[in-house]
Parts: sequence; C-alpha cells; structure tokens
Amino acid sequence: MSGSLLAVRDLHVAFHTRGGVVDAVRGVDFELAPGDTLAIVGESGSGKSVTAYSVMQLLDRSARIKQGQIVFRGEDITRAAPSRMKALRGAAISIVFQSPRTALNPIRPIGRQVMDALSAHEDLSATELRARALELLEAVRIRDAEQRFDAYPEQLSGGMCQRVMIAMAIACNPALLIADEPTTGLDVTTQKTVMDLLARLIAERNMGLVLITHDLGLAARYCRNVMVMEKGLVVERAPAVELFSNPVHPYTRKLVAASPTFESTVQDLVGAPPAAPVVRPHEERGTPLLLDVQAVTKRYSGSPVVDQVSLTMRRGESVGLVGESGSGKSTLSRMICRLIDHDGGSVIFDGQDIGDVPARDFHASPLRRDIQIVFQDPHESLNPRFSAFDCIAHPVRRLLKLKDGAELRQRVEAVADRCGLPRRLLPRFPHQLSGGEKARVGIARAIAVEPRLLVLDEPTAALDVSVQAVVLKLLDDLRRDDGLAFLFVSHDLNVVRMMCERIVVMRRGTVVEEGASRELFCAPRAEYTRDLLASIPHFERRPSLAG
Amino acid sequence: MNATLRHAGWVLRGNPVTAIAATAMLVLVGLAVAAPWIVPYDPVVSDVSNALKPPSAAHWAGTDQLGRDILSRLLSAARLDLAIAFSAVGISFVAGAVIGALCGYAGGALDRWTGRLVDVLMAFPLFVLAMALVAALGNRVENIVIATAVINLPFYIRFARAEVSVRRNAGWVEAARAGGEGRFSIVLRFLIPNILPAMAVQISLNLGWAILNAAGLSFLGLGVQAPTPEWGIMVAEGARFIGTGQWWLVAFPGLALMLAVLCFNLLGDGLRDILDPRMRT
Repeated sequence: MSGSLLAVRDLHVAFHTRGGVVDAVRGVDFELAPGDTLAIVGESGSGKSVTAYSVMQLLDRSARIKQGQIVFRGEDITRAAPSRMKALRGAAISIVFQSPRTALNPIRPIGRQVMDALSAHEDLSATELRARALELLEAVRIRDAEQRFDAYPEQLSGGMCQRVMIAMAIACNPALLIADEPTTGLDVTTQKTVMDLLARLIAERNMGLVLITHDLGLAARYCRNVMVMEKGLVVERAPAVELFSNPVHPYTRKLVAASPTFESTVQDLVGAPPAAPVVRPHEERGTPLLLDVQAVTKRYSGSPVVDQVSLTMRRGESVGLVGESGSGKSTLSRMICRLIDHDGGSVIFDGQDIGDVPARDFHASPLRRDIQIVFQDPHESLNPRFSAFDCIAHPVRRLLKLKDGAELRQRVEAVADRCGLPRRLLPRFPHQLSGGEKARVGIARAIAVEPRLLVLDEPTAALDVSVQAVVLKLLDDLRRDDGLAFLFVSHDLNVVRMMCERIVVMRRGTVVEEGASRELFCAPRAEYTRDLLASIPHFERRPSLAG
Repeated sequence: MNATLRHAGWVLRGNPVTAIAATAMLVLVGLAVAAPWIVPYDPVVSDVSNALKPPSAAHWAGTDQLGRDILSRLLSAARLDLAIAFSAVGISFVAGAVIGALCGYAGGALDRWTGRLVDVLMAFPLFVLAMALVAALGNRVENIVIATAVINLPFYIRFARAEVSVRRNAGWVEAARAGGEGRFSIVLRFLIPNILPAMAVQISLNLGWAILNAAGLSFLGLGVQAPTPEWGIMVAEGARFIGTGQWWLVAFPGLALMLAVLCFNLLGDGLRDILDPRMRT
C-alpha cells in the first residue's frame, strides 16, 4: 500500500433528503499510483462526482460518508479535520471544476487569482508571487500572459478560463489532480487543446489524475485506466484499451454502443435493426423550396454575428448546421424560426417571404405552426409552472385553436405516445421529470402542431449519452416515418452525420463548407472542417497516455 | 390543489416558525372577519360611568377614557386595518407586477422612462409622501389605501422588472413564442406566474409595513378619524393616559399592532416555499 497515492476503500456516501436517505455511492474501491491516470465514467446520478468530492471533503452538507476509508499518501483523510484538509487542498490535492466561468471569481483579475492560489500555501514575496503566476499562465499556454494578467474572467473565452483554472490547480505542484468534467461546455477543438495541455502537464509533473467524465472517448484518449460507475456502484474497471474494445458488463456495453462513432448509425446506438432508406415526399416540378434563406445578416452592436448566409432545404430534407459557439448557428436558426429579426437578406418559406412580418408579430402568422423548434436545454425550455400536458397542449391551444376537451386530450396523448412519453407522466411538472423525459416533452410540444420544418437546436447537448441515443432514435423515426424536414443544429459532427443528409459548416458567421454528409466526412475540403473532425475524441484509437 | 395543500403541510411541519405565524395570521384574520358578531360590546358607544377601568372579567382589556370596551375596539380595528393593508398591497402588487414585468420584458424606452419615474418616486421620504397624499386627497379610508399603494408601488415595479429580465430569454419563453403566444400574454400568463413565489415574500413583508403605515397616518390624525376604532388612533388617544398609570389604553393596541406586523414578516419565507412548484418533490 505504501506505493499508492490515493486509495479509496469501500466508500459509502448517503444524502439525507426530504424523500429519505439516498445512497449515492455504495461501496467504491480504487487505488491510484503516483503519476497514474484514472477515468471515472458514468452518467448523471452514477455517483462519480460524489466519489471525487468525498476525497476533497467538498460534499454537500446533507451528505455523509457512512463507511469506508480514503487514504492519501498513507494518511487516512476520511474524516480529517478542516485545518488538515485546508493544508492539503491546493497543495497536495487539487481540483478543476466544470464550467470555468462560474468557478472563477468574476471581479478579480485572473493573474491575481493565480497569485491567491499560490499564496495560500507558499510564503513568497509579492514580486516572486507575480513571477510564479506569470510562469504558470505561460505554462498553460495563455498567449501574452503579461497583458492578460490583469484581465477579468469575462474578457476571456471559456477555454482560456479553463486554462486559468488549471494554472491555479497546479500552482503548488499537487500530487493529485481531480478534474470534474473539465471540458463540458467547451467546443470540441477547445476541448482537445485543453485536454492535451492537461495531459502534458500531468506527465511532466508526474501528477496523479482522476478524470470524471461522461464522455467515453475522452476517457479512452487521456487515461490509462477506466472505472465505470452506475447507480453508485463500480460495474467495471479495466485498462482503457481493453474496456472499449471488449466491454464485459452490460451497462458498459450499452454505454459503448450508445456513443456515436465515425461509422455508427442511429440504429446502432440503441441496438435497433437497420432502418429503411428515407422516402422523400413526391415533389412536382416547380414546387418551391421548403426553405430558401438568401444572404441573411444579423448584427449585434455593429458587428455581424451572421454574415450573408444562404441556405436551402427541400421538403422532408434534413440538413445539419455545425459550428462552434460563436459561429452564429443558433442565431441563424432563430432567424429561420422567426424568433428574431434579420438585418438583411430574406427568409423564404414555401415561396413566401416570411421576413415581412416582424418577429414579434409572427406568433399570429398562419405559418407559425409550420416552423417549430426544439430547444437546447430541456431543463430550461419547459415552463416550470406548466405540467407536461400543458406544455404540449399549449401550442395546440394557441395555434390550432383547440379548446379544452376530448379532442385536445386525444391529440396530446397521441403525440406523447409518438414520442415515447408514458401517459402517466403527463400531469407531472418539469422538475418531476428526468432529462430524457423532458427532452421528449420538448419534442412532443414541437411536433404537436404538425409542422413542416422542425428546427432542432442542440436537442441532445444536455443529455447523457444513453438518453441521447434514445432521443436520436426517436427523431430519426420522425424524420423517416413522418417526412419531417429537419434543420439540425449541433456542435457534434458525429450526431449530425447520423441524422442529416447534408451538412453546412459555419464559422464566425459564415458558411465555410457545405456538402452531403458522407462526402464531407470522407473528404472535408475546408481546413476548419478537418480540424473539427480531428478533434472528436475517439475510443477506437490508442489512448495517448497509455503505455 | 390537493398536492398544494400537502406541500403546504410539509413546509409548515419543517418550519415551526412559519407554522406559528400562519396560525396566528389565520386567527387574526378570522377574528377580524367575525368582529361584528363576536365583540362583547359596541365599540363606539361610550359609557362614561365605566371609564378607564383596568382589565377585568367583564372587560378583558379594560375600558378607555369614554368607557368603551378596548377588546371590542381592538377587534373592530383589526378588521379595518387588515382591510386597508390587504387592499393597498393588492393594488400595488397587481399594478407593480404588471408594469414591472412589461418593462422588464420590453426593455427600451418604456423601461428607461419607467425606471426614472420610479427613481423620482423613491427619492421622496415615503411616509411624508403618504402624508402629503392623504392631506391633499382628503381624510378618508380610500385615500389611505391609495397613499399606501403608491408608496409601495416602486418596490414592486423594480422587483418584478428584475425578476422578469433574468427570465425573458429563458428557453420556455422562446418556446411560448414559437407556440404562438403574443407579447402581452407571455408577460401575463408565463412570466408573472413564475415570479409569484419570489414576490410572495415581498407581499408578506409589505402587508406588515402597510399596517404600520395606516396606523402611523391615523396616529398623526390623518386618515381614519375618531371615534372609528383603529389601532393608530387608539395608541394616539391612549398615549395621554400613560403618565397617569392607565397603561392598558396603549399597551393592547400596541401589542396587536406588533403581533400583526411580526406575523406577516415571519410568514414571508414560508410563503415562498409553499408557492414555488419546484420545491415540491
């Protein structure tokens, strides 16, 4: 045991809540040698974060470590005194949190925050502190660190903020680094640079890493060993290479299957039989395009967010819109939905220029029901005071002018059935539903009025990978069986490839590449598309840190 | 409805303070409503032979300088004071929530101008403003209500505006627009119901404040006039007798005032927990 950096033995953690005692972690064992890397993989509620937080004693007040032992460098820290933990935190064990923007103090310059992290454990003069902080900022590859030293978090990008967080975490050369979903919310190319940096720093400084993630690709690429958790239990642990090539436990198999890869189809993700090819509704010659966006522009305070973008869609066609945050894809999709006005160009839907009606009056337009949208975050897109039934019934009441009664109820129930939402869940409020159930309510609401164009704004970005698989399958069925036209907005190229016939890649408000999904994937023309494709973490490849 | 009641029961069990405040509130409101039927004596008929009697079995809270039963007057006064407080707060809540929510949702010139108007209103010492309003409009109960509503209005406008502006770009608001909802109905049917739990605290605190305000105006001789029973007037009249040892003339109305305000203040936090559907599991 003397050789291990961190040993967690038979850890049980319970939360005392209104509903009674909830066991979040039920017997977790693992050991980490100095310089070793371990990924804890699981979906929300699996107990992966709770396990890591117990090591740091950063648990919520309602949580109790019921039994088990946490040993760090031979010292039992399971119930260490706060003063002892204070000495360890930052100096010997550090943590990098999810969402760097909220983890940094918004009113203190970033350089100062790095200095604070240093001075908490080391007795240095102000000039030495500053010099060390600068070194650290340079080590995490912040360009022009000298100038950026006095910048505030909101002046930096998300990736940059995460690098500052990493600089703070490694400031005192800790022996163990815990990274809790360090790249969730970052773009895929940023994710790659941040993770590469983290991997390099860890190797250079011989730190132990516990990476908590829901992303199997990330775990495989950056960690030697992987531990899979489900409902507070460790279901499988193995070296990364083995685990993904030969998963043993059914849950791991399900997770591996549900993760989109370069080759998978939507049917593969959920283990369904291959689907028949899409049958496009018959189009007569001369029927106008379903959607014809011509050189639309949107400016925010002078600078264009979407700059002269054109896009066409035929009836029943599914088009993917891909790009990183700030590429203008969400703005474009909202202009197409007529939720915001454009500053130039035109949006022609089925031969009619719908730009004539201001966005704020478009709710009364007869075309409102034809263009519907599924929003990014299912948690945030349902009215907290509406039951699932009311959420779905709302557009039916407003747009189809159906009064309360049997007809409305039938329609809502039919669409809930179509979306795989059990009828008994209809009276529930959003907070009483799981993420996947809320996503179904959001989709049911959008298709309840039988639109002709469905805009999907990152519909699965906030969902666990197995839930994402099921929701994608549902969407794919809607596309195939009901002939709905999809505009699928996403930052995830793999997902878009599976769902769409054609892909449009956007960057900084303009279209950089457009083409059929297969060709775009096999032979990307734009360099940016190649970068995007190369950044997708993948578990078929050999992990870079293994061996 | 059933779920709401069950949830309310759960919140009250968890917060004994809220439960006590709620019970006291219910008792107070019940007594006030039933006052005309349960008072032992007529609150305005004087009986000089019985003047300034200390609390006894016949007169639980004693009698005042005109021999009127103080307990009867207290209960009748509760009716008036609560009515003033509820209607004043009701008016300022409805008007403030609508104006504030519209400003918060629309932004732009409407928001800017309303904001400045509110600033101007708040620049006055509020109690003095209320006095001026009652003095200008005339000594009537309606005018106390109007004055109290006006001085509470800025708080509701600001509060509603702030709460709405953090929610106006929420996904569910955009979804409502995609579902064919117009601007006004989004504000009225989506945004205002969602800020209610947060506003409940404000309403409850304000009720206490409104009672104090009404009593304060009457104490100064503005608004409600003697011989109408009202806590502020009773304290004002009773104050003359403290020096001669007839403490019960001020002590009981003062106590009633204090308890009522305390109840409303304690109730606030519990009320928010009861009204917020997300607190239910």
